[in-house]
Amino acid sequence: MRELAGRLSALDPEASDTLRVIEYFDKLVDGRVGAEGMLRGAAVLGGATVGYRPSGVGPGRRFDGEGSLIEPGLPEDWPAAGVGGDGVVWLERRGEPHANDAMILERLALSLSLLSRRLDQTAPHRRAVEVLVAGDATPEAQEQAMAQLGFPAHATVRAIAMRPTATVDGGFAQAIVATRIGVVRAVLAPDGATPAGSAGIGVAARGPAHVQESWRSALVALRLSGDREPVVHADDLGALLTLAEEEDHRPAVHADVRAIDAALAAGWAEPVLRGVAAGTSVRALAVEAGVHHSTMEARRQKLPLLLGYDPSLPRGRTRLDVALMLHRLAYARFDVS
Amino acid sequence: MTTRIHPAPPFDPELDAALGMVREMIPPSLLPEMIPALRQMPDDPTLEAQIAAVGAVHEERTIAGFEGGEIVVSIFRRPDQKTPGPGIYHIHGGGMIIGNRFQGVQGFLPFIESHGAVIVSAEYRLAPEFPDPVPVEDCYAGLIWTAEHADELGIDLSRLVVGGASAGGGLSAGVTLMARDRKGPELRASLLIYPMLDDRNDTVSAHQIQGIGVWDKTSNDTGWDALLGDRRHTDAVSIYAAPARATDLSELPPTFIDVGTAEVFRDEDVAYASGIWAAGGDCELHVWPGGFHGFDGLAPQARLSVAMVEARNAWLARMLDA
Repeated sequence: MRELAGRLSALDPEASDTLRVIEYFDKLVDGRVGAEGMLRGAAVLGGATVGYRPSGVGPGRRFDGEGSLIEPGLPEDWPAAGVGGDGVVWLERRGEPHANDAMILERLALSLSLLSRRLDQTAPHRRAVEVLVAGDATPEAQEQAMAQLGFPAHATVRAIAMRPTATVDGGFAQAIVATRIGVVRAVLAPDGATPAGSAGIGVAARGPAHVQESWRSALVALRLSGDREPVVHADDLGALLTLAEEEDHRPAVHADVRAIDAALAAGWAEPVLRGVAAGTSVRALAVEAGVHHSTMEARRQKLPLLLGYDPSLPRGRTRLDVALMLHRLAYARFDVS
Repeated sequence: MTTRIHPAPPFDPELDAALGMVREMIPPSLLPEMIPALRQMPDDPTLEAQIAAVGAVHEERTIAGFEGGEIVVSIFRRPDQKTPGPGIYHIHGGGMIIGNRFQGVQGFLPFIESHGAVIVSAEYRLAPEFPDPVPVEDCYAGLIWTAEHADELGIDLSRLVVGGASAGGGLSAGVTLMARDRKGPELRASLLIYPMLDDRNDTVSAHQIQGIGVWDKTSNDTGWDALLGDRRHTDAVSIYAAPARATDLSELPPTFIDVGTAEVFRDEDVAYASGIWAAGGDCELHVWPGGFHGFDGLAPQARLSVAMVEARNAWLARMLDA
């Protein structure tokens, strides 16, 4: 009854809907839905044919975008995700992937793995990670979660924060977590593990009760990561970590962050402001900004007015550097849908 | 003494997952002030293609409804209907307050191809602007018109089936009772898809489905209030408006009823089937575990939806067979 119930149809190609995709597959897993139900659901959500080959070579089962079973086919070079040992699930879409394709594939693969028991107890692992990063469970529950993940009771672990679409090798326990700044992937790994790709590595947690703190620091580190610095270690932040966490607790951004907004609005670019904080010469700043050095000189003279302090003084440079960090933290968001 | 109502049976997980994805679009509780917005919902853009795919054409006629008021009926059939085929008189759903004659025909179109069926779908006038008895009398007028024009439409009158979903199922039941009591037309069968039958809205399942699922107890109040106004809960409600009130369900044509375990209409639909059996009648009842109202429309690819539609179509095919 379409008029009263609506209709499940393909997700918006442009809008990321990570949390709801996750909830969708969680419901299928928790409800012990079979592989066919998962594949059909994925095909309808993606609005495209989905295929699955549990192992080996040769053709796999395929369901079209309406959820109907169609003739078997090969994975070829379609976007795909591994299932267990040598299984594969794929989504038949040419050209630009839609916003939710990667997440649909990933959750589908995880759900199918759980079914075929190739990945040992994925769902309990996920829940254990959720318990530990939330930090509000009883000590007994936290210890149980650690044990479930295979860590000795007081092993040193680190929380690692990554984008939800990042792939994680090494079989580390992970969960997708909704945070103030969006949807983020939480990984719990032994001390020393380094991920590929953009990530924030939290401080060491010596015991389950400290995982939440490690996770919070990992989030700060992730927000500071970027193209220039894909992996940020919270350990390297020192006192800046304390400052970042303090600022996170304030309801409004610091005046120094608003001053950065004003500078950006006045035509300053972030890399150039970083150059100012680093004490770079006017000539080099001009090159970075692509303007004549006298233009840059004129701008430099107006900067103290914009910022409310003089960034040519030593303390001003530190203040600007810190303000840039806080500015980045204030605006970092992940997967807003 | 208060009666404890247990929580509703759980939703089937495939259906639950699908419902989670569309939850923001339609809340479980529909209120009168939402009616205008609900009436704006767009029609199925693929309907034309579906009609063409079964080799059918669509025509419209304006006919006389209750007390001469004009209503439109749509006819879906093969352009060259050489031999008369079975007739399906379709009544759309929408809680008595929304919907149009194009909604819900999709499921019947394949029978044009398989059985040479002719589908007539009526645009009855909606409550609250047109309260009872207008909707059910409009539907009955359309049924009479269909029977009177059987030759022209290419309908074999020994195989005329009435059917619809939700409010359409309730109206189908009402029209079937009218056909029995007013001595015509003779119906081959009556297809009641999760029908809306009981204005009293006081069963266990009605109480269980409140604030959850699709078309909850509050929504049901909205629909029945619009249809019956102050007459609700009184003896002034006819069995044609609220078929659950009928105490005599004898002499009815073969009936098919389906419903989910997690919807408001579960108990009144089961009771209706029981009433038909108590009177020695022919009724096939299916109750789908974990189904909320209209689940086959929301998630047609789900295992339960496929099973529900297969059972329904198998029965209908037998009814339409020569």
